Amino acid sequence: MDVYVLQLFNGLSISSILLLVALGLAITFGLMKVINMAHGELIMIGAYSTYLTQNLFKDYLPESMFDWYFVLAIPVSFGIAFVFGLILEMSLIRFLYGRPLDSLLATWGVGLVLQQVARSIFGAPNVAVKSPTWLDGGLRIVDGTLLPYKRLFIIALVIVCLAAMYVYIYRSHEGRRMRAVMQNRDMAACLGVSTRRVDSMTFAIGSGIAGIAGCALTLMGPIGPSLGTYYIVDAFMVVVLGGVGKLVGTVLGAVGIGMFNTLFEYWTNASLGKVLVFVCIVAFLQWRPMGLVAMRTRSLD
Amino acid sequence: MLAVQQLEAGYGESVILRNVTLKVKPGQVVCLLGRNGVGKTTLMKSIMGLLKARGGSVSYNGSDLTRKAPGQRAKSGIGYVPQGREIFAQLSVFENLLLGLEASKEKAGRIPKEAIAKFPVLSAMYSRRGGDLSGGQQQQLAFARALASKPEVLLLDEPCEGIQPSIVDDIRDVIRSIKADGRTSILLVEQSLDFVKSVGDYFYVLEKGAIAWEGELEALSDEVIRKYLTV
Repeated sequence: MDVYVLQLFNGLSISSILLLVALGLAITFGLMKVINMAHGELIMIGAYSTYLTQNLFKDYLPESMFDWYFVLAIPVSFGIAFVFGLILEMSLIRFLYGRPLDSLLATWGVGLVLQQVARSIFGAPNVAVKSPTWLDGGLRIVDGTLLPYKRLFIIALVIVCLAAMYVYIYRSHEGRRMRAVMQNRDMAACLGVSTRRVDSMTFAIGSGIAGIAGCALTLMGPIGPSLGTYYIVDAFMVVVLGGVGKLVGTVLGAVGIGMFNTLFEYWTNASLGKVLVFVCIVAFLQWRPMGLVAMRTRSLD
Repeated sequence: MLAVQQLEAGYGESVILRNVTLKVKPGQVVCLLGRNGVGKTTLMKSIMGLLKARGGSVSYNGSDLTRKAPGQRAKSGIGYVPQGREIFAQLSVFENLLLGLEASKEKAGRIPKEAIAKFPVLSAMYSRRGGDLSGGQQQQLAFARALASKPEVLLLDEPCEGIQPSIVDDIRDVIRSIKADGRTSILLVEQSLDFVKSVGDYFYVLEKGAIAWEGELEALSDEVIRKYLTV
């Protein structure tokens, strides 16, 4: 019994990390159709932002304050990744809308540059981010089954991010403009919506959420310049499996992959489990190429 | 006054409009006629800014719009009901109408009562998705959306295409009531001669991308119609 509860929790935990990593991409790739290979590096930027926040707290504030650095690190990671995304959109991406292959190559190049910059500034070895003590330990449900607070925290963080994104996209003025531009760019422009502004903001928000994902990943272990490359494939897989253009699809995609991953790994071993998940995704996409939740969208043309 | 001067425009290599000059005076309903493929919709798109002009100019109340983006033209008071309606299918009817307010000069952010009053059928469908509406309902929504920003010039591209006769009558009534108000002028593209004759003040006939004839209602004789409009 305990084993199943633990596996279920592990599945949920992996799902939540996958979802957090993929949420930003659900905007930049799902909504905007930009194949953003630098998404992983935006995650990395978020992670290093957390590292910097930690160091600043360590150097300039009394030790009693240190535990609270993480609360500040989340908005800081969002902000810094947001600014990077904004610069990236305004200087590069906006010239490449409707040119998927060019944007793939260009953003991959940007990703390599960002990795090298991180290596130059912070050095090639991984750096450790010390988790706040209030996230140490875990919730004991029965003897021998411990749910770590860190993982619970990530699940909560994902839920908060999802709720915020939902409110922004479906309930705010800006979100309405965003959906209008993504559905019918010309008509939105004719009604007076500034499509340039919407494009930059949308891309920047997607990048900012990648930053939050990076911040959360510091809880899972040490971080390095190539942190993003471990997650970029998973992120694309979640968005494609979920169905491009719908938040619900991304959630289902992440939960599906996370759960199956845990199950297969439990039944076989880590590497075979991963292979089986890939096989399932390939088979599923043969059957339903549009993904779990298909939406008719007008692509950017 | 909306003034188009010697406008040239086209898609890619091909030139569609050559040397088009027309005027829409305040309060006027100006109709643009012509057979299929002569460039009527292209002209509408160039006036709205969806197509860049290769030559000539588009100006409104003396200010040059030729290099302005569609959004800026909308904000200077030009409303557009495109051919094919172009409703945001995934957005609700209410959200579609709210988007009509983007170009509005007033910051109130409320949909003007007049715009809705002209299409009473819409108020019962606020929460439905735009894409679930019938063609006629979508046309009325597109019209109301354009009226939401209280435009001074309204570009109507085939508002009666594929619409049942009773709604065509409704749309005719709406155009007449706008005309009676006298605050908004209209540039109308429409295939039905009866329809344009019943609302129009001034007529332009396009042929091969140029203005081939212009004149008032009385001058629109059978001979003109035979020469430029019968297939």
